Amino acid sequence: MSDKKANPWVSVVAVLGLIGAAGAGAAYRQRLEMGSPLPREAETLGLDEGTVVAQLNQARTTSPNQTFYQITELIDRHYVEEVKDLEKLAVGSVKGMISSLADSNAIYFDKEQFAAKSRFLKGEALGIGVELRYRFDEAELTKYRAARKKALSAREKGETPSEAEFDANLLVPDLLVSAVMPGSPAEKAGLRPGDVLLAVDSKEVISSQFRKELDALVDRIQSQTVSAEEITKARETYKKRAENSIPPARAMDKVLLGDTGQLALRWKTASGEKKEAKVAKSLSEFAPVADSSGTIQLQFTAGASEALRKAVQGKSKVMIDLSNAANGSYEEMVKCLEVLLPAGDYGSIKNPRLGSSNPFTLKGTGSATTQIGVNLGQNINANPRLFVAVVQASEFKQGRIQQMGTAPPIPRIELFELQDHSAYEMPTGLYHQADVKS
Amino acid sequence: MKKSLKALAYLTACTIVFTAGFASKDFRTGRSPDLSGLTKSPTVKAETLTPTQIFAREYDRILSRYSGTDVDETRLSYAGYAGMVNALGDPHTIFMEPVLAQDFADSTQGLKSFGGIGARLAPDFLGVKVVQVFKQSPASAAGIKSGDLIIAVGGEVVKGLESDQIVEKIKGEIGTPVSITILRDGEKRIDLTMKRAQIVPPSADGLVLAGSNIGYLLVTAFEEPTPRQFVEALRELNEKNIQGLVIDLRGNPGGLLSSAQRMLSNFVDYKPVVTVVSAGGKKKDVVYSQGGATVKTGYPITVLINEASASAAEIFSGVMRDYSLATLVGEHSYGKASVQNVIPFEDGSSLKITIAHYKLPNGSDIARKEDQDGMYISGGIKPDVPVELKLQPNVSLGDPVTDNQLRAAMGVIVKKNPRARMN
Repeated sequence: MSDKKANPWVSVVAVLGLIGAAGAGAAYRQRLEMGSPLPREAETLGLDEGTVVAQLNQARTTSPNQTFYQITELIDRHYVEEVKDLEKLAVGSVKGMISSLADSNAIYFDKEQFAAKSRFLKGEALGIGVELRYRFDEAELTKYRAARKKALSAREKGETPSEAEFDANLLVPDLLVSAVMPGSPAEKAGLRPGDVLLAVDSKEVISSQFRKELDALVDRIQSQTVSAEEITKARETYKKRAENSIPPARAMDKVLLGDTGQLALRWKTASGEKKEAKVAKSLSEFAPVADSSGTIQLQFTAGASEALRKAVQGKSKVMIDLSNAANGSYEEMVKCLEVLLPAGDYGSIKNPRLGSSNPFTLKGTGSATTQIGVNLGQNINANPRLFVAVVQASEFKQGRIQQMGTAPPIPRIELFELQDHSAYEMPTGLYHQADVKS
Repeated sequence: MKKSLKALAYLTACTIVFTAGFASKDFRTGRSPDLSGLTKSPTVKAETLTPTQIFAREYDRILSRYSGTDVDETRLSYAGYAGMVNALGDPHTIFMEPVLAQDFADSTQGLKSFGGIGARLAPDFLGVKVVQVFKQSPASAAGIKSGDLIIAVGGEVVKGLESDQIVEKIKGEIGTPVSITILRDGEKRIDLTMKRAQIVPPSADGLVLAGSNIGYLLVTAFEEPTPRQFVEALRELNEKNIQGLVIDLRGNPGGLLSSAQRMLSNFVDYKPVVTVVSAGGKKKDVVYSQGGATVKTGYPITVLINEASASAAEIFSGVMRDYSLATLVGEHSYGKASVQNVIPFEDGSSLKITIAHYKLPNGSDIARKEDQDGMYISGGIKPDVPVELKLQPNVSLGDPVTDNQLRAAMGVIVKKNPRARMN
């Protein structure tokens, strides 16, 4: 009864408090949906990378995370249909970022592709039982990189990039058979490492050669120097070929996924011979280590190091065949090296963009006196190549060879899984032999 | 006692308002509120990352781990946004980087004006042929007629040059003079000098097709002034006593729905034009024609379409067909059954987003379906009389001699109206 005349400020504060509460509610929701900033993952390659990233973050004024959240909000509010699966969109952003790197070693795997890859690393090959890899025409790739660099610098100067950049985006790789799993339908059909796939189910795999031919055809149609009949004929040919083609990524899925059905395949061998066969898909299980008359055929898949340890026990000379080795897993490859080589540093892994360098250290248990020979073949990629380079570095270290090769640095490729069970891999460092001390 | 009660009431009010704030997003989007987030404990939340966290983690990981040297932050983030938007699977919802966004803005603001003589030209063996003369242009003031051949520009014979090169010679700075030599009816040479003027090509313009009494109305886009130009052209054609009309929408990418609606109002009285569906099918708006035909059309009409006819062009042709007002001739249209909005960001990039779908009066959905490689499967408007364009070196769209689709459209008219004739 004493406060007959209420202080007007009390009601103002009360109303402000209510508005504040509403604002806090909306803000809390945004915070929940955006998620709190993630703690940075512990770096496996040393501290200097963390420092670099901290500097990058400081230089940035607006956060890409905020922009990303803003776009998800806009889609949620304005898109014609209700978007139930925002996770799918987030995963799409990762796919977009990986493909923007335009790096043949940076690859996104959707759920099904990643499931097949995981099974492969356990020794179970689906599809026709091969490993496929994109092989770019080196000359085209160099041209592409130059065009891209030019376009990027034009953009930095505020100019509109020339068409060259967009043309270069059409760079098409060949589909290389890099490994044929023993006992697989592909092996029985006569496919060998080094073969290039030309057609799947009578659809021509789009290749750089294919694209060049189509471009030439379009040029001829556009140069009005040809007759009407010729244009009509060229147009028909163009249409027919375009309709009967399949992009490399889809051909890859057809060949690598599933374990039922049959594929009509056409391919070119390393010597240029064309072959074709019908190949049934089925699950083929393969062992990581197979001993064929003293030579160990090795795959860096689950259990490889254990099997290798048994196979080399008590031997002073070991011959390893990697000519049919699939890329396999980096971790398993390192474990195999540790079986064969004694502990120590064998060169370094550098990241030229971050300016970091870390010794390539093995906690090996092998003997320094074991002589190791490796048959490498033409088509092996990252992990087998790295294996060979480290073995070479060790031979140099033990004084059994006087010089190391002049091979370019080999990428160390890491695999990262996303929460929807898709995944991507990208190179996180380059292996250099040069730092090995003899 | 009373004071503590008051405080309690206030606290309750705060909680209610806080909850309302939390759910405000649902009210905005018209969903029933989802309050599960309020009660979920943060530890459960930590198990799965939010979409933004998924993006943030991999974005940071690429920048902090990737060993390739060819990567920059801005481009990487743009690729991320573009990838996210692409995952919707809608080819019309796209994230546009600043450069792209600027191009897009230029193209919609109609920066097409230039200094010229005001005529539509087509390639010809001797130079270029005048297909159409724009009204109130230097060309029309100088007395140039459609069918004239331009054989010299600035005293230089242009035979053997590409038509683009000839057009470049004719165009120039506004106000500067250009002299040309024309050949009329294959024999009369006329030298003319004109002052180049700013030319904004009309998006709707008509003429009577040579050797016939059939009108031809070319509509290149559905812009703001298009309906007025359309009606004007129609009136002028009527004055010339045409016995049929071909409306050419080939290559017309569309534009404003309201323009299509106003043009249709000339033919359709107060009937549904399209039904616009948005907000996940919850919101439906029917757009009606306004009626009140200003120009009578008592003759047969055909509409030419092809795969490059899209959006408003499809609405126009679809409505004409659904109300049996015209025969569609040509190839199937693109199949763009959606409406987009562009939302710009501070850095010059922008988001083009599909906000609605539309359906034609007969209820058909013309949305384009493509396979994984972007190849056409189905969708668009099917022509009543399918005719593929015959590609010939000298083909010129709108020319009643070499344009076989136009000839087919004229043939439909001649069959329906005994008073219509063509060569």
